[in-house]
Amino acid sequence: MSEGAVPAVQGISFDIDEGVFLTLLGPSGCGKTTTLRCVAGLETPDSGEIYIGNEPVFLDGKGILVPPFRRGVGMVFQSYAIWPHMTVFENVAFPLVHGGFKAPKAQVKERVRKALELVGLAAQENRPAPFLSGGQQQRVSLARALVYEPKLLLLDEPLSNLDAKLREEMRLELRELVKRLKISTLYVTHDQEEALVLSDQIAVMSEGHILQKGSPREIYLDPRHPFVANFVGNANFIEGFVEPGKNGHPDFVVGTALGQMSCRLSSEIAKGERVSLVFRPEDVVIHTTAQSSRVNTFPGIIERLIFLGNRIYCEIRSGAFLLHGETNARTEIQQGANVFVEIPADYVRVLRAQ
Amino acid sequence: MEKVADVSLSSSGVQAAKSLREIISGNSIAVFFAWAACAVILLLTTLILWMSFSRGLPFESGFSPDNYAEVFGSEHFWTVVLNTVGVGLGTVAISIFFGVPLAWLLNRTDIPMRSLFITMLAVTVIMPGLVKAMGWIMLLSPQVGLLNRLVMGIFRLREAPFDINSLWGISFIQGLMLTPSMFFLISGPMRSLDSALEEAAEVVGANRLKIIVWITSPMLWPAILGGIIYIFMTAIAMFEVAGLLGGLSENRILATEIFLAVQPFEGSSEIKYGVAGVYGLLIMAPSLFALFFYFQSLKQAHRYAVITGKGYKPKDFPLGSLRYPAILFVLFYLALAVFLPFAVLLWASLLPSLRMPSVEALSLVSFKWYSEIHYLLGGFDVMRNTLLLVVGSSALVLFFSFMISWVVVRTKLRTRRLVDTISMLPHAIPGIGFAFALLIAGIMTAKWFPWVPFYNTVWIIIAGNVLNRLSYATRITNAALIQVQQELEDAALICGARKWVSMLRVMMPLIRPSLVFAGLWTALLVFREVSMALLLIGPKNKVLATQLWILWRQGDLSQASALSIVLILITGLLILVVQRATGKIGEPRSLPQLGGGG
Repeated sequence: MSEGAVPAVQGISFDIDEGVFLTLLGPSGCGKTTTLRCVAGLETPDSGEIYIGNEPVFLDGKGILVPPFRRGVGMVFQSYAIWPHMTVFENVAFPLVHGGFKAPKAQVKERVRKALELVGLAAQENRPAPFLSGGQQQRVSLARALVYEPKLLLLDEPLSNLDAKLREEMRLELRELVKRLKISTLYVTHDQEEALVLSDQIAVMSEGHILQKGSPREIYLDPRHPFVANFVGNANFIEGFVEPGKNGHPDFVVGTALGQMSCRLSSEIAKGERVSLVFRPEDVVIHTTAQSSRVNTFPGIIERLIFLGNRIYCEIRSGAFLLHGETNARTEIQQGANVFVEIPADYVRVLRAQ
Repeated sequence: MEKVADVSLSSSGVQAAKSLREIISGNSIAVFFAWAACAVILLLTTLILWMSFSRGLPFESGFSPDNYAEVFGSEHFWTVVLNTVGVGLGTVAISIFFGVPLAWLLNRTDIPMRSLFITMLAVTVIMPGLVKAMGWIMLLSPQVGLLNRLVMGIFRLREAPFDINSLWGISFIQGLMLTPSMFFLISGPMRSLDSALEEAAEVVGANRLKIIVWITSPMLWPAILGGIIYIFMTAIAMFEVAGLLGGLSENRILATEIFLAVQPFEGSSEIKYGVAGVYGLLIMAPSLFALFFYFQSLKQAHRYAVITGKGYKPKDFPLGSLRYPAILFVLFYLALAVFLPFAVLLWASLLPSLRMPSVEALSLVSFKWYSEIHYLLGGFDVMRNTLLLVVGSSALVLFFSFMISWVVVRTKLRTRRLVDTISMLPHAIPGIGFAFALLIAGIMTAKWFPWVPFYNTVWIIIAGNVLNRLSYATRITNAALIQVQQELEDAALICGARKWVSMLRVMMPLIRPSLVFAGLWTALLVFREVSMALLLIGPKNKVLATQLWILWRQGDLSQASALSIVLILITGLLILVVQRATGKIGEPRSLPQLGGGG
């Protein structure tokens, strides 16, 4: 580290198993792109270890630093980095002709055609690269990364420059392609939906740390960190103290601004501890009539309603607490109405307060 | 399942790489050549300093202040200094007189044929300073000057009214030569000045004159000041005009003194390298100082940052009936700078000897000199030397500026700023200073390593030209490389291409238009360069430009004229090639190249 630079990455560790699609997810500036570029060899970490396959490509202790052109990874850049002075064919053939993956001339044509077929651009071979649309450039970039069948594919926010509709299409296509080729992939994005759709595993990053790593399901349904809960999907947060259970409930009870809430505690959390309760808006059940027998049910007033087409998003005031909830689009509900919100105990995550 | 990747990083910086070894491993070729060029620049600069303290060659004699005593004690010293300053200021005055109104007329008014005039201004480089000076001598010399004799005839004067062989004459010709530089230096700021600022003054009731004096001029001041400093620097280091007009012994200025000290074929007998070193330093000192101010004025420019990126079109000032005098003014400049000297050269080239146009003279017109052009050109050797000079210099300039710009723009090496600064040094050190240092280096080489083909070969002239042109060319390659997105290069590396493959296959093709432009302009300016060449030529390395000088000194005005016309035609052809290849002539971008008018 020099010239007082702030470390972009402050101690992270992960591995990618064969055929696995791992996504580094985080807001801009969290260090995800730096990490990816370190793996590619385009940037050099101050310390740490990077192995690709069984080969060490960076070991700070032994002074090993393999330059990018010998790492044999494939990479798709955010800006596609399609060389404008070459045709589509020349772009894709570059690694086989001038790069480190030299192939006999007869094979080059065949392999380039195969790669272009994979991305659905077989007919565009001879077009100059600048004449392509954004989506097509994206495909060329992908073909160029796949043509030499790399062990590891690196994707740096490849979809972020496409418009919304195209992005959704490419997302599915990319998922399909990567699954078919069974290629190990490291993907970087700030788009949580993209990460959920594409990944086998997601590592959520913030300020140079990996906060949680797991399958999309784990990340979404069982966030272990308030940041993760909030960054992936929406979440309600409420603080409270753990109290012993009463009224015959097996669970512990947490005293919060809403009132006492029952929830399942993991064994690490002790009585008396300060905790954050996290629950998702879509798990909140909104009743228009009183529900005397239910637990975790609190009265409130609808402060705001937003119709989103497939659902209704509600802000409900209960005492001092403003709660986010969702309900079916066909629910008859009015702003200012008195309602009862139920928060099912199974869907509440208890995190140690930060 | 097998692990494909395993990453653990304890901390990693935003900065790409930390140790010198790591960075160099990827960019070693560029770093090597960039520093080689910088080392030569520094060595030669040091050599000038060394020589000023040495009575003989380096290593052969000790240090002594005698050279300084000789120079400062000389009876001519203050005359030389005052003459130099006078020529500098005079040149600035002439180039402002023409350049500023031209810039305003051609950028901010509705003058007709605007783009044609701008192109014509740009191609005035077609006429090298030496040739322009020759033309004006034939027009205004007291003895043979055609204009002088015309005026004498009309007004029945006994004495010639004009004397071009004076400080005024030198300033006049240099001023004409550097007017396009001034024009292009202030055209950019002038064009991008937001006319809303002028309109605001109009709204509050200021009249047009007041707007120009109080609004437009002050906002342009940084650009004009930068122009003045640049012109002054170039003017005091220019040798060929003063050398031709003063006959080297009158009108002595610093540049001619250097020449006299080391090429004493005009009278004085002794070769005084040390004295030349002192004069070299004297020229360099104000230039370095001026360069500092030039950068300062550029830095200040942000305070006047009225130049926004918005797509407004500056409003043209309606000239109305003033448009005819305006066109006349532009034509007047072009006549003085190009048409008149060209006409007189053409006329002289068709006659056995220079005389006033008359029926009798017309009967003598012939293409005799052109039929002997092979002899005038100096034979096959001179042609081969010239070709090698032009092609070799351009190729080397391109190569080294690409390498330097690579280090400056595309590495994160800590010394890159230093490389950038050193590559700008030739901008401040006059060509004749470098030529002097190369001459010394050449003599030393010939003495100690006689087997090295350097002294008295074209390569020594090439070396001088390459160093001299490096500053300009690196500005172009810097700008070009900055525009190429980092990811385009990264992509090549990821594809398994080595650094040099990515340079050759990706980066160079991407900036090819800029490289072509820089290369062709270098060729053009090297072709017409004469000051350095004169200092470095011997019997075996004559080139076309020095051949012209020699012909003129021998007194063959008509032959020299014929050769000038040929030279102009070749330059014109080169310009046509530049125009065809890049279509860039007349754009403000071509400014720094044009700036090398000397």
